[in-house]
Amino acid sequence: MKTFTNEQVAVTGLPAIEEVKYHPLELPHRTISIVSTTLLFLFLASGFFIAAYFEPRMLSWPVAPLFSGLWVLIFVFSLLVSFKSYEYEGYAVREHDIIHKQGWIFRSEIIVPFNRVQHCEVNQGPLDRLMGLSTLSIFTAGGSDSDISIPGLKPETAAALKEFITRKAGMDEEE
Amino acid sequence: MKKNNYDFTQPTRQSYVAILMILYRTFTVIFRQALPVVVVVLLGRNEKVGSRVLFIFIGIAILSMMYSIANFFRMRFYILNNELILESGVFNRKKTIIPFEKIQTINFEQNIVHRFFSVTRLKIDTAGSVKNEFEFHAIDEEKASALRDLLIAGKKESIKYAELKESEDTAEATPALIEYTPVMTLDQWSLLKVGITENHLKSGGLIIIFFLWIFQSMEEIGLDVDDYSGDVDKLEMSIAAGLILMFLFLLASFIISLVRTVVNYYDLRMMRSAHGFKIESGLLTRKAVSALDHKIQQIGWSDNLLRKLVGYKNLYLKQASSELVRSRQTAKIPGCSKDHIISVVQSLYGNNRLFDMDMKMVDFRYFLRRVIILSVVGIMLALLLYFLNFMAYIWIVPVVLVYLAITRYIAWKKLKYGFDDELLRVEGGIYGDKAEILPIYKIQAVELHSTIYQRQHRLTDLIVYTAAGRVKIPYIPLDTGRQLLNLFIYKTETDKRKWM
Repeated sequence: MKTFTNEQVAVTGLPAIEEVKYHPLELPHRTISIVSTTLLFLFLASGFFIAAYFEPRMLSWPVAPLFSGLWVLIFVFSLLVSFKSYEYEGYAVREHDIIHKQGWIFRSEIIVPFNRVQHCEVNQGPLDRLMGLSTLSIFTAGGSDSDISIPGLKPETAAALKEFITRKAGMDEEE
Repeated sequence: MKKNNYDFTQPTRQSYVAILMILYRTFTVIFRQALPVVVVVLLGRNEKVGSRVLFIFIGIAILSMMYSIANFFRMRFYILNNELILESGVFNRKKTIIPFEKIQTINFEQNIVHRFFSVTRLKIDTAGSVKNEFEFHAIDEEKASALRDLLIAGKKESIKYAELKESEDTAEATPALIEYTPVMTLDQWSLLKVGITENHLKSGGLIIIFFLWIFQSMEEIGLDVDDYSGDVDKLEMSIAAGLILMFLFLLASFIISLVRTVVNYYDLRMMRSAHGFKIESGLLTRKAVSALDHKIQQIGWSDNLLRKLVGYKNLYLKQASSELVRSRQTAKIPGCSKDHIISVVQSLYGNNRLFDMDMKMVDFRYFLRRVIILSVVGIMLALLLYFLNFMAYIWIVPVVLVYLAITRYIAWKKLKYGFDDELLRVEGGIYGDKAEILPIYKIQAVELHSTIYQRQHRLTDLIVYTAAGRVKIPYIPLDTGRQLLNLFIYKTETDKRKWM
């Protein structure tokens, strides 16, 4: 530890996140998020109808119009969000870290250095499988706050990324 | 010195007191499972079914106790080639091997029974992926500390070895015996002060939860609570009765938090070894937590208005419990003075300049935005009250709004962040003060997060993650946020020190 040096770093000369070029997700991912939003809202609607079967008053005025109005409003808004979010989601891999950006209304960019990665996983949900896509999950230590999950990747891209990150994370540990 | 008196190479069992512990534990588990059933059975009229159910439970209890005892006799441990080996299993033999360097923390715990027999519970937390914790229910005190010293010494040797590879510094190859120097102790008077200045509202919340729990369990058992509560409505609740109730509630909260503090932090001792801290405390159950320096990801301290008057703070040492068990562990040390904190900071980071770091404020819109949102909510609430004909209560809305606006203003005024080559410091608070300190190289992720409003003003939240939690710096200029992200990530990526 004594040989560790720590020169002053010029803040302006650092590798900059603002210069990063993001890879977009595969286009079918947009379909997936729209379909899953639709499924969620159909599920909510069916819940309402099941409740109405046991409690017919739920179908009377003003409960029914209020609920359906709200349902339509939030549904349309969620569809818009899933549609637009696609344009704002992406990832970038640098020599020593991976960056994931997402969100249309609330935007976030999160960056995880490879030497802090615990392990990675490639997952495929049912919808992913249907569209031939994969999700890459990158796990850090101690809880889930700083984990990254990048959806909408081609399976071979996801596998290659996983391979690359695992190697990078392992290399750092050996040094 | 005593450590050589024990031969750990021979397979040994735990102390026989462990049988007591195991039986007690099995009993409580079964009791807790069976309690609702037993209550229902006893309350119910059908004695035949009732006795049958009881017999089944007693049968299960006896069987599982027999199993636990058999387990005790089959469990043995020994040390071989810098590995702790545990043999266990009743029907099939299982052998678990823990290499010393995989051991993360070694904790002691003593309840009254333990102390009576001079034994201790020993928990060993590892970085293994299958099972992360090994627990000895009871080991003789001296034997346990000898074992711990041995394990830590062995562990240190492997850490040293890693350091040697790093620095090629050949001095100091032999590990020294673990020696502890006291950092702080809490005497009875200070303990009382800590208890009195506790946040009593929290205990008040506990009381409410407790009554809700009783209420709910009574409902589950099938007692009709409404029958009884009907009478309460008829009672005319005068203001005096209300005040007395309020007073009793506050008194109970006060006593509960005082008792909790005394039970948890009686005879608190914080000690420093060469590579970490050890914290011991407790009246009925004595707990010892060790926090190794390199495991501590961030530290923090906080106080409240009352604590500020007596000059006490809670100190938190936050660590990730192990690499794969994805959990966190925080050691809390109440009753620390500023000097204690300075000495802890000194021994952890050797940094004198921490307290005269150049601290920056966040954007004023952090306050403005929260007030705007609060006002919108307040106006909606006022409208709701108006339409529901609760006009008499409408004055509450502006009063609460003004209170919230003032506290948000204080929160903005006190929120500050600063950093140097080594450390990041964020502080804030409303009535009390709180602070978070973390070494920049322990950061494991950095996030920039922004809302539409923030983007309109080129602002962003910067969130820094370590294995022990997150620290948020809200509403800073986007360019600053990016610069900080670039700097922190650069430092994390180029630093080769052991971080966890």
